[in-house]
Amino acid sequence: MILLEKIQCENKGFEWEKYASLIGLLVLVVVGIILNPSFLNPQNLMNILRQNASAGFLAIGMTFVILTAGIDLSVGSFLGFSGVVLALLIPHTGVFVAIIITLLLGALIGISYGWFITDFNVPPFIATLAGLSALRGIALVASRGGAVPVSNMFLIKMGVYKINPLVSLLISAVIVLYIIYNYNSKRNNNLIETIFIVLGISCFSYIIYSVGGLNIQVFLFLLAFGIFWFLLNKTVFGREVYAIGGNLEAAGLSGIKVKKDLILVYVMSATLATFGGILTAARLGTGAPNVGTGGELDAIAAVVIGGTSFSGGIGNLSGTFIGVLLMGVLKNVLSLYGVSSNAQMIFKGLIILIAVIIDTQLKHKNA
Amino acid sequence: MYIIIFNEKNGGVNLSYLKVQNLSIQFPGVKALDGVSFEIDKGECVAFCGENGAGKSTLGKIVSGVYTKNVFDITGTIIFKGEERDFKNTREAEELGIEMVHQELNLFNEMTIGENIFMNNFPNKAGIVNFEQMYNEAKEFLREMDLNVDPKVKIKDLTVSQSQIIEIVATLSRDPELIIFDEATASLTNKEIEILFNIIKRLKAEKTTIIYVTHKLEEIFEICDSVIILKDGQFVEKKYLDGTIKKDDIIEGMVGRKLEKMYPDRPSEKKINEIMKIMNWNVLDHLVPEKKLVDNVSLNINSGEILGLYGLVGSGRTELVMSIFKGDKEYASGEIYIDNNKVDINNPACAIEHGISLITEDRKENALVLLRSIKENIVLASLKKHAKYGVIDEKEELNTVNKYMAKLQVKAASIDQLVMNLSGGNQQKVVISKWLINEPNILILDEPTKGIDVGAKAEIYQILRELADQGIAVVMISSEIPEILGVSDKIAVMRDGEICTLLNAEEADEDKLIKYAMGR
Repeated sequence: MILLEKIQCENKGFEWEKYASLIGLLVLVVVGIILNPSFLNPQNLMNILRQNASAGFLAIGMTFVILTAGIDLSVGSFLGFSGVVLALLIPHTGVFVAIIITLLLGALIGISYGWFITDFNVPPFIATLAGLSALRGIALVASRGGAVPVSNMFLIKMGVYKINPLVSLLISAVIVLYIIYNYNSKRNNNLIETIFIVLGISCFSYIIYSVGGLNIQVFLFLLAFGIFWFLLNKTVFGREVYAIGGNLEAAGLSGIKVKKDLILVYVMSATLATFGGILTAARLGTGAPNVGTGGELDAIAAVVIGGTSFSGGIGNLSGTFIGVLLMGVLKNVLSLYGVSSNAQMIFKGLIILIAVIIDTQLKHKNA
Repeated sequence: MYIIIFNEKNGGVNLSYLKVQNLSIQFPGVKALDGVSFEIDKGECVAFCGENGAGKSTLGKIVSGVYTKNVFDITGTIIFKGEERDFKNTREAEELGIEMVHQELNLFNEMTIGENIFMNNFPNKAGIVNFEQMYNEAKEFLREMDLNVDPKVKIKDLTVSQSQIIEIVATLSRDPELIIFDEATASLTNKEIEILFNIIKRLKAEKTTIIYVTHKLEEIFEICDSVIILKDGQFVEKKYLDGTIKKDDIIEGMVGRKLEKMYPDRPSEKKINEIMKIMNWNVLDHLVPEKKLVDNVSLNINSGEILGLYGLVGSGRTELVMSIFKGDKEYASGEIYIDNNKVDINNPACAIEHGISLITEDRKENALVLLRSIKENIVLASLKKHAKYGVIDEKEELNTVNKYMAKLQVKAASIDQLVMNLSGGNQQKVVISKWLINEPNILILDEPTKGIDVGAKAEIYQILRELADQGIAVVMISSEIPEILGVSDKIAVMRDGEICTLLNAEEADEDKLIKYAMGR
C-alpha cells in the first residue's frame, strides 16, 4: 500500500461531526441542570432510562432498517399490539408461553413485511404504513378499545425488578476493564471515545448504587444494545446490511443474498418492537391498545439524530444510543420545567431539525 | 512568471483567456491538486492528460464551478477573461459561458430530448411552455449538429451512447464560450465518436475554447492543439501539438517514466484446459420479451488463456456474461458446463461458488459501495471466508486487505478511506482485488479499463496475463480494438447477440474485427 499524505490525514483534528449528537446531549444535560437542579437526582436519571427502554428497542431495529435504506413505520403500533395480545393470552396460556407466542407473532409480521418488500416490490414505507394502521386496529378491536389489565406477578416484576447493585457494579467494572484493555492492545483506538465511555459507565454505576440497583428493563435494553452493536459491527450480516444500503445492485452482484438479509432486518425490527411492547405492558401493568402512538417517529428521530443517513449505508448504533438518550433527556427536562406534553412536541420537532441540519452541514464540509 | 491581463484596450492580447494560478484542492486524505498553474488562449482546444488521480476531472470541476471554495478546501486563483473569478455554483460559471459535459449523464430519463435540451430555458409565455416552438427549435438545433433524431423521443428509449451525445448537444444549446469535456467518448461507439468530433471541429471553427479531458491519446492528436499534462495533482508541462510531439512523449510526462511496453508478452508455452462450456445460451430483452439480446451462443472457455470478447456496444456481450452470473432464469436459457459437469447457477452467490468472478462494466453503479471504506469493499464478495460462525475475523481481514492493496498497488491514504474519494483507476483496482480474493477459476471482466489511464491500463493487462499464466480462465470484454488485439489469446466477436467468429490472436487484425463486428 502506498500511503499518501498520511500527515494531513492525521492533522484533520477533532472530528466534530462524529460527536455532534454527543455534544448536543451534554448541552441538554447542562441546560436541564440549570433549569431544575433536581434533574441530577439519580432516581430521575434512572427513570429517564427506564421510561425510554422500550423506545430504545424500537430505535435499535429502526437503525438496521434505515441502514438498508428502508423504513419501518409500524413499530409504534407494535407496542400497543403486542401489549394487548400478551395481556389477552396470559390468562389462557400462562406468561411464558404468552411471551413466546407474542414474539413469534411479531417475527411473523416482520417476515410478511420482508416478503411484500422483496417479492412484491412494495416500498417499505407503504408495507409498514399498512402495518401501522392494521396493527393498531387489531389492538383496538381485540381490547374493545380499553386497556387489558395484567395481574401476572412475573410480568409485573419485569417492570420493577432491580438487579442487586453489587452485581450491577461488578458488570460495570468488568466492562470498564475490558475497554481499557482493548484500548491498550488495539491499533487506531480513539482516546476521546474511550474516556467518554469509561466516564459514562462510571457515572452510570454511581446512579445504580444510589438508587439501589439496576432496573431490569434498563438492563435488558443495554444488553440488547450490546448484542446488536456486535451484530452490526463485527459480523458478516452487519457488513451486508451496510452494503445493501450503500449499493443494492453491487451487494447482490457480490454474492450477498439480499432478499434473505432484508427479510431478516424487518424480522429483527418487528421482533424488537414486540419485545418493547412486552416491556411496556410490564411497566404499565396493562396491555393498553393506544400505547406507543407516534413511537415510530421517536425511533426515527433517535436514529437520525444519531447520524444515520436516511438514504442508507451510513450510520451506527452508538449514534442511535445517544439519540435515544437525547430524546429521553429532552422530554424529562421539559417535564421538570413544567412544559406540557403537548408543547413538548414543538421542542421535539425543533431538536430533530437542528440535529439533522448540523449533521448535514458538518458532513458536507468534509465531503 | 508575470501576469498579462487580458484587456480590450491593449490590443486584445489573448493570452490568459483562462489563467489558473497556484490552484490546490484538498480532499479528505488526498491533495487532488497541488499548486497547478497554466494559461489557455481563446479558441484553443487543449487536452488534459494524466493518470488516474492526476486531477484532470477535478481541475475541470473547479473551473466550471462544481467544486467551490465555500464547500471545498480550495486555494489559488482562476482568472477568466481578465478578472479573478470565484464561482459560488455552476450557474455563475454558466452565465459567463463556461460549461462542463460530465462523464456521468445528467439527463432526465422520463423526459424527451427536446425537454432535456431546453431544461434551463423553456420557451414560454408567463410560465406556460410553448411545446411546438420548443420542439421546432430542438429539431433545428439537432439538424445543425447533423443528428437525425426526433426531439420527442424520451431519453430512456435511447442507448447510453446516444444519450451521451444528447447531453453534449444540450450543453451546446446554451452557447458556451468555454466548454469542458470530461471523458466524453468513454461510453460512445465509433459512430457517435465521429459525430462528436465533427461537433468539436465546428466549435473550433467558431472560436469556442475547448478543454478535453481524456485517457485516449489517439483522440488528442486528432482534435487538440495542445496538451496539459498533470501528474499526482501537479502540473507537469504544456505541449503544443505541432507535429513533433509523439504519443510516447505524452505518456512519459504522464507516468513520469518511459512506459516500456503497453501489453505483456504472451508466454511461449501455455497449459490450456477447457474449463467452462456455454451451450445454446439465449437472453431475452426485459422490456421487449420477443427480442433476443443473446441468440443461441455457444462458447468454450479455457483456463490458462485470455479470451477477448469484442463487439459493438449493444451486441449482447454484457448481457451474455451478466445473465450467466446472475442466473437470470426468467429471461435467459441454455446450459453451462464447468469441468464437464452441468451446473445450475441461480444467483451470483452460486456463480461465485462455482469459481466464477465477474467484474462488471459500471463500477460505480454495480460493483462498489461508494459510501463505504476500501477495506469493506475489498472483502465484500468474500465475507464468509473472513469469518468464523458469522463473526468477522478482523486480523485475517486486515491481512487480506493489506496484501491485495500492495499486490495491486492501490493508492490511498488508508484502508479506511471511502471508495468514493478514490480515482477511477484505484477504484477499479479495488474491484479487481475484491474478486481475486475468491481465487476464481474463471474471471470475467467487462470493459476493465474503461475510463482508466494508460499507466493503470498497462498494470491491469499485466495482472490479467499473470492470472492466465497461473491457470485461470480470463474473459475480457472490450470495445477497444488495440486492447483486444494486444491482450487476448483468442478473440470472439459478437454481433446482434450472436458470436460470429472466433479467431486466434495471430490471425486477427483491426480490419477483420471491425468487419465481423459491423457485419460488412
